[in-house]
Amino acid sequence: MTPTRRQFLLATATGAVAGATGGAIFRAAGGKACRSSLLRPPGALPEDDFLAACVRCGQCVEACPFKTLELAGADGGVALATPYFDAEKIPCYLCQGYDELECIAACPTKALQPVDGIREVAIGTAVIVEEICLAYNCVVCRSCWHACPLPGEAISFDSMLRPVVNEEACIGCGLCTLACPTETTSIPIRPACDGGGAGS
Amino acid sequence: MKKRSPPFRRWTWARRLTALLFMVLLVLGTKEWFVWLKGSTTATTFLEVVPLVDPLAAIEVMAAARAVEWTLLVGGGLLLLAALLLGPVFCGWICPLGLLLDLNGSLGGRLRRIAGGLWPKQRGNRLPGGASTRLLRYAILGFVVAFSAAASIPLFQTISPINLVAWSVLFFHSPLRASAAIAEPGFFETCRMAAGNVISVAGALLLLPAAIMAIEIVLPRIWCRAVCPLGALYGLAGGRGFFRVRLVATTMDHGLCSRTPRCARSRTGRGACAEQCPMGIDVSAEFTRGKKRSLIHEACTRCGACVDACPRKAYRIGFGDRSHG
Repeated sequence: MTPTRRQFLLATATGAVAGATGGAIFRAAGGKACRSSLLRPPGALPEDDFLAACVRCGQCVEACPFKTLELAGADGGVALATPYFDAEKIPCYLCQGYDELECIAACPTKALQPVDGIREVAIGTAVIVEEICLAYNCVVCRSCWHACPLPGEAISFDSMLRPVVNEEACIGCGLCTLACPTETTSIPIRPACDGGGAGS
Repeated sequence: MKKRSPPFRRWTWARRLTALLFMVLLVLGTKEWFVWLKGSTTATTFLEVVPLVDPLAAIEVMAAARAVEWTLLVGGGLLLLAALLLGPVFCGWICPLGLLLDLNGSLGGRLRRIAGGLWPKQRGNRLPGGASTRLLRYAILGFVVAFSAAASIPLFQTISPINLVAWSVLFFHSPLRASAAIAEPGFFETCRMAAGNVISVAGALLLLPAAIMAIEIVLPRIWCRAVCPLGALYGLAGGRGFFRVRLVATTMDHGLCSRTPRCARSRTGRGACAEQCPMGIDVSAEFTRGKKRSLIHEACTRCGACVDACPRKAYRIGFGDRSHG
């Protein structure tokens, strides 16, 4: 007995009703504003919009000339297969030496929005861990300032020659994170969806 | 008695090769210098310009983001148009999970022959519940689209075992995509990464495809027939596609079908074609019942298994009715 067209439509409609209910419950249950908190590629929409708009094709990962980006694995939860980077492994070099930000150019959806210069990027904010930062412990060190793409703007020095992050200007590229000489980095990046940066 | 080797299964191997070629192109696409096909199963870019997007991914993302995007419209539209004209050929010819399940089925048949009663038995080529199980994948299609819209997450794209297979090959700790930390991985390094990949993959992400493969030892192609919402969407679009299984003229008229000993001996008694059809279509009955000259069926993926199986060469696959075979 071959199902009729009516039965096909009925099946689809039944599924749709169940799906809408399930989706609403899922959304209500995971109600907090940031459903995942990762360092996203430059130009990424705010986290929840990004999770909706990203098609999870990995073209940004392929396009990244510095192999910064990776697709999140099973530990990413709802963020499975969305692009992120680990600043302690490879930070975002903001495509220095390239005409454009390659990941944004490669993105087939609006999940990565074109940016008007690197100052518009809002990946997150660098946070100095004063307990282990050398400069806060009586050692002269300017590694983060030297690595920063916006030296003087995003990282400046106080009267004691200690680095200070200007949260307004910091874009969260993570170059300082990698450059930091301490064993665990003293200047990690807080993702935009964790309360840092303008993108949250 | 001299045992004759079975005839070369032309369509079977052709479709396996195209599916493999698609994956090879995607793997090459992870390299900077290869621009033919970039991306993975959800969305690709062909020759740096043409977007080719999984139509279900396009629908889900637009529903989740509540925005219309021309790349997705064009990319998804192109593939839907292809399905409309040809049929759901993605399922039969491209899908990497389909390739795995196809090989899994062949392997299962072989093991069954070797291990005899030790290997679990398939009860014919039909799923329990018969044709009505086909409704399930349409219900799931409705479910994933509505869920995506309500939860603002493209649901099926996140958990699809089709994507999991592609992502595992292309991205997750893939030795094919050496990280910048190891500039030129040597042979040993590549092997080490491959081993690490197998372990991490076995740990988590390929569990879903693996589970499907295990289930299909008993329930033939249950994923494609009853679950896959992408197949349902392609089936909706491509049921009447013109790349069809067609009758070679006069074969049926002369009553040659189902009269061969091989068909009569088939487990189900419905003929070699029905037994081999991955979608469980009763192929010869579709032709004899409807007096049709071509098979119009929402589930037919144009894989050509029936063409290869028929001992009388009663079918061909292609466009238009020609009188010669």
